[in-house]
Amino acid sequence: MARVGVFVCFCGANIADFVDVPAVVEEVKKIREVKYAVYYKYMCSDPGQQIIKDAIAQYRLTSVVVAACSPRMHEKTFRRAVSEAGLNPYLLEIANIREHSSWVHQKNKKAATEKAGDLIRMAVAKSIANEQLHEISVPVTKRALVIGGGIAGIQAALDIADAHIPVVLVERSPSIGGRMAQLDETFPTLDCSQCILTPKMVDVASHPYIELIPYSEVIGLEGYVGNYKAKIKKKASYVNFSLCTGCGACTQKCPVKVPNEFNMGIDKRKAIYTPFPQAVPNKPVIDAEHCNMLLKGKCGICSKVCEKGAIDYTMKDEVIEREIGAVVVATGYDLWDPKPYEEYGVGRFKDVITSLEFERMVSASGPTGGLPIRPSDGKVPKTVVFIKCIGSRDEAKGIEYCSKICCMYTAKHAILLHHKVHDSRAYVFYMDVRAAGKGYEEFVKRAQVETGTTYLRGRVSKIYKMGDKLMVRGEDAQLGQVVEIEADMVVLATAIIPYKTNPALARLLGISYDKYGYLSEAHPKLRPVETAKAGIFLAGCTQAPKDIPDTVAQASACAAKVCGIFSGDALKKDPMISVVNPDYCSGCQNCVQVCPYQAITTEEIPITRGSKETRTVAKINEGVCQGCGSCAAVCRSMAISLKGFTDSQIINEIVSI
Amino acid sequence: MTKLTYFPGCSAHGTSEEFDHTLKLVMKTLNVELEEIPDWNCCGATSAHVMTENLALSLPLRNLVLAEKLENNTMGIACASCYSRMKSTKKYMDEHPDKAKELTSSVIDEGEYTGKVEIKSMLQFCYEEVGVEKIKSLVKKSLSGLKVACYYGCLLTRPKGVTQFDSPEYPMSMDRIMEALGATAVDFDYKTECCGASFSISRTEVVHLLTGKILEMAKEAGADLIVVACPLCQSNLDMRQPDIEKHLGKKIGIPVMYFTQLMALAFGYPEKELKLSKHIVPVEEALSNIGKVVETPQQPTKTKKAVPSAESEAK
Amino acid sequence: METQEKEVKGSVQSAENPGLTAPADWQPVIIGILCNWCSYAGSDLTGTSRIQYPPNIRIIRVPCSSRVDPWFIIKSLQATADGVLISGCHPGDCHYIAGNYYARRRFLVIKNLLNFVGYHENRVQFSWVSAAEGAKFAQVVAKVTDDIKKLGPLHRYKKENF
Repeated sequence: MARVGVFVCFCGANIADFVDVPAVVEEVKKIREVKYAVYYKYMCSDPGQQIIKDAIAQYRLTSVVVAACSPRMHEKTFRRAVSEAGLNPYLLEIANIREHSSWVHQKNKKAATEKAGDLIRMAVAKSIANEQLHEISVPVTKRALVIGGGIAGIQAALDIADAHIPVVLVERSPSIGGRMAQLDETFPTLDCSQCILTPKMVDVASHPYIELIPYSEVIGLEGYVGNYKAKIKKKASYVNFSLCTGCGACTQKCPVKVPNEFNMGIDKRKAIYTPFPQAVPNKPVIDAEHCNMLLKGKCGICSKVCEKGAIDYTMKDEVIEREIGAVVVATGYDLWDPKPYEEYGVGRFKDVITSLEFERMVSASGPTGGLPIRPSDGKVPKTVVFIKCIGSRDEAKGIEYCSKICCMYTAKHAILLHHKVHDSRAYVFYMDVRAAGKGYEEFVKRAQVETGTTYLRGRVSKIYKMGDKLMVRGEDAQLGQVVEIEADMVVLATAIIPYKTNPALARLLGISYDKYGYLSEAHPKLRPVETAKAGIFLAGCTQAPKDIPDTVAQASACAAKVCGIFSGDALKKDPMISVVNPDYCSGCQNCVQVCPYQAITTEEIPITRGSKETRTVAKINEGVCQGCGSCAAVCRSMAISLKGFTDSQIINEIVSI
Repeated sequence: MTKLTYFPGCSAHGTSEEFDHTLKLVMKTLNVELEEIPDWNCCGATSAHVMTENLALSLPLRNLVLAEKLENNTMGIACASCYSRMKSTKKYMDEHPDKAKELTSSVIDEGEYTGKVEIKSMLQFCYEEVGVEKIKSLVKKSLSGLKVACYYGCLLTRPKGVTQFDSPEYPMSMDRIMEALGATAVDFDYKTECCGASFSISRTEVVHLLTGKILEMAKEAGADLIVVACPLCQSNLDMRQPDIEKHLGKKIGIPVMYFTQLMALAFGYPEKELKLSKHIVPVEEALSNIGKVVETPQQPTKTKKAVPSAESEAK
Repeated sequence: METQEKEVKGSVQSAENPGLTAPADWQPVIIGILCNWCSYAGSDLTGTSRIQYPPNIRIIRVPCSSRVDPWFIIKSLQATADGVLISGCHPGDCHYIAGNYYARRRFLVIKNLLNFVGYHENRVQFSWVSAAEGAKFAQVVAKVTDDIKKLGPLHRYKKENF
């Protein structure tokens, strides 16, 4: 026989003014199972909690109902109090008589009192069916997987590894560094990007707690927080890294030339190549799509010149596995292809280039030695028009969102142009200048004042050719006039988009993504780093467009989250999850289909004890289940129950009114 | 012999008679029978849709209803403005069947609208239904040596959501047809700029400005003549040219022909069938270039960009 | 419940059983089953904002609207309730990724069944209320209460009638 204690709170005047609390207590005392009922001014106060603790001991209570504010407010407080009195904390129920009665029926004390009585009756009925629950303890593999070796991945990996937690860093290209390695100088301070990035790349390579797996992709992830198993495909590099010294003889002698993607195709690289001089690891790979030896079986020069014999044309892709406890996804961004802007002659005019192409040109280590040149004739441009919002904020041709970084890098490009070509003139067509950030507005001012860049508010409607000049016709909306600029070069500030494999990666990891392909955070404001799947975190532009400081901040936040998971030997988890009673389970697998977390699988159990014949029943993975209860609702044989919200608890509530 | 419902539009019976005439010749060679909609009416042009929505919709809708009575799946429209009005109306009616019902039951006596007839401009018909290969195979007299600037105007490819044909900003369909005839289509950045359209009548100076620029750019691009597929474009570019020359203070003298005239010529019809006397700017000198060796052959437009985008980074 | 009158006189007429009426001061009982993350939080906000609504609803908390077994609805109607309100997160906002979509589909089916056996469609209602929509929760409750009041007391399939 259940022995329930009911503790009704006045909440000062919050409840007592609108609910006749003593009358409610008298009413509640009539319930058969209620062995003790009392009211107090503030139940959540220390003396209030003491009343509960004393009553539990004195009346040998089997469950406790506190009638007070919302369980979302003080459930944890009272659970702790109950637990301190030696009762299982999950034997506590809260009747929400403040938010659900006294505060919302202030003009009708009779009805509010009656309702409070009902709410307590429901809580009492539910508590009778409550069971003792215990926090679930899940063992943890203390190793993190970081997907993507751009600045986000590098920062996250270093921060985690510095906490003495092993990290597996997987990068799809032959070298880490990502987009930041392609940049020349960075806004708003004009630090040299390579100078601040390269030391971090070297740290990654030499860190005792980081296993760097370049030229590889994650192709599978199983398990749940603390206990994931990742499948990683190491693409065949055709170079044995353990033998290769990185001397570069092979790259020098290779006869095949391919557009260099690191330099946005402005120059050529070889079929065996390291992406850039500061690459980490500094070992070449063979591009199988262009290598004569691999395509036609003729050549083999690299193998001949390699003194170490590191070239291996027979190398195959290899799949390796790593057990890990948490994942940081940092797959970065891509540039939107401005092809739909046909009125700007994209694809027809060689001197209409994208911002990243310009970036490579002005980079001291770039293909043009740091000088911007016109791809059409190799001349140095004197008048350059920068057009912002190419693809961004353009519902007709591009995407709706703001790419966030273009205002700043365009200001930077205007300044860099001036630094490289002193007698040049820059024009910027803009819709808005969005320079929110530390030192950002000042930086834009610097571009406008110091370098005399002309900012024109308006869109460019057309670019056409007059001789070897590009005529840029646009609107100066502030003057209300059409302007035409005779330009030598046009730089398009193309939008940034998520890396194209994001949706496939999201499906593989079991996390969600938005309509653009950005991976979705668990909450846009309060959980911007987590995903909806426990133990998987997001850093950098894989989640939304952001600049380097924001990316680094988010990466460090990921590291903090990962370290949090690994802070103990086991993870504690709320016990309110689903359980299967295999005796009732018919194996229909309805539950498998509705589980949003793929937490339910099946297992074979003997038909009867000791029997060799088996039948299929559902099996819930405790580590994965989040306790939504979808499965319990679809279970036809009532084999599944959701702890804390069992059928009998809820039905008890319903019939008690 | 395939049949095509034909909507000529008002201009075809007036200012653009040479378009209508040569179109019929071309269609004869292409083995297409044009079936003109009986009792068709004006599409409403610019005037109707700046005034009342119902009028702007009812006028084309009546033509659409009439077109459905002929048993062809496709209707070809000669005039770009008619094409734009009719196709916009069709899109609107297909999306708002209630409106179609309301209009057919109140102001249109000719029956119901079902939306079964597809609408194409004659350029679109030649490019999509006939195809460049077939046109090429029918050429009897190659137009090699002739350099043309293809001018599409505003309405043939825009708005993209309505026309669903070619690129809205840099279309190439007419260029491809001209190349099939043996002519050289020059790179022409002004191919979709506005000519000023009906401002020709109310504010001529606007047309002087806009059309003047188009003519200059065509000349700059090295074209012998401009090819069009729209009666109003033709009349603005051709008829206004002497005024524009006066306005600019320089001679341009670039003739403006319909693409069907050149097709008819290439298909072997004699020059007198092209009704060249209708032109204000004389055509003969330009046509005399046919057969001459082109000294500097125009490079075919490179569609692949020299500098690939970030995509190649993927590897 | 004291308010549950079974007398066949008065002025409120039952929609399903036009012969049955209840006293004019009859108050319906409504059971509200709310998901913890959106609608329950929304109803808390209604309280914190002191927005007033009719006192007829009795709220049951579940983790997700997908936890609502059709049985709960039937059991509610069979026991004391004259109407049931289920409320979850807005589509796309589910705390459990897609639970509310399952709930929505399941609810369409149960609603058809209830209509088929003779319940008025307003007896059981479904709504989306987010954690920020305190005012909307009050409106929803007021509307549901009003709808149920118009329908009159529920006698059909009540346990005591068997």
